[in-house]
Amino acid sequence: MCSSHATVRGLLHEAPDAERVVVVDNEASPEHLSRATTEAVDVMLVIAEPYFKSLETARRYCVMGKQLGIPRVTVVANKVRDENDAAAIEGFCESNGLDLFAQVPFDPMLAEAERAGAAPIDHAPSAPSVRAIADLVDKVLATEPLLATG
Amino acid sequence: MKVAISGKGGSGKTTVSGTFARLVGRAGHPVLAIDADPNPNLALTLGLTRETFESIVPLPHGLMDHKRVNGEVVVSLSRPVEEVDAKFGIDCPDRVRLLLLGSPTGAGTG
Repeated sequence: MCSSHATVRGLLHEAPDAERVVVVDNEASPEHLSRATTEAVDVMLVIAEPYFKSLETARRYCVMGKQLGIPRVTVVANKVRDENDAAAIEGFCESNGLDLFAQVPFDPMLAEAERAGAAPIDHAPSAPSVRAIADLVDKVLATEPLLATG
Repeated sequence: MKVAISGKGGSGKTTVSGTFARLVGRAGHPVLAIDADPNPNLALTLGLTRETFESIVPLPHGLMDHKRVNGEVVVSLSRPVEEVDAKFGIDCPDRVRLLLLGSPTGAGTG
């Protein structure tokens, strides 16, 4: 049994969400889902790039998330370059019954921030990708029951 | 509220996670950010310097209790999350606290 998986599960069951918002950056492999480390979350955002392998992976993650009983499992498209990318993701989600929650554009600023060793939000707070993630935050906070507001 | 952010390697999930956490904090809600990736780099996306990042102590594996329920191993923290956070959490900008989980202890244990 991998201790790291186990720890996440413990934290998610015990984290007092009445007091704050818990955000978990999961490891990439679907293992964390099959081991049920994320079962206590309210929302799962599955990040997908606009190409088939990434979308297919996202689809599998969504299936596993729903099997775990996570109340809201939804796709966030990332690195969307143009209308063709957007159409590809929308089409895939529609034909596979996936909820497409938000789209984050491809943003060269992210590579610049990486080179500068800075967080994207500090490096370029008004960059398109950061603005799109801000919209995503607004949407999640607006649609999910939040028990307390710090 | 608890939010899990998942995705294929390279999908940008850590960039989204870190920026998401900072923006939730900026919206007025305290945030506990948990980096559960064996190759952790959420700290940098949250705005910590490389120096601070290098000095982070991962959670010790001994913090967990294992018990068997219906044939499945169920694990929980052996200490209250507030205590674990107080001891191992790292302050980030915008009211975000980061907990960095240890990567798997070695080949075959993951």
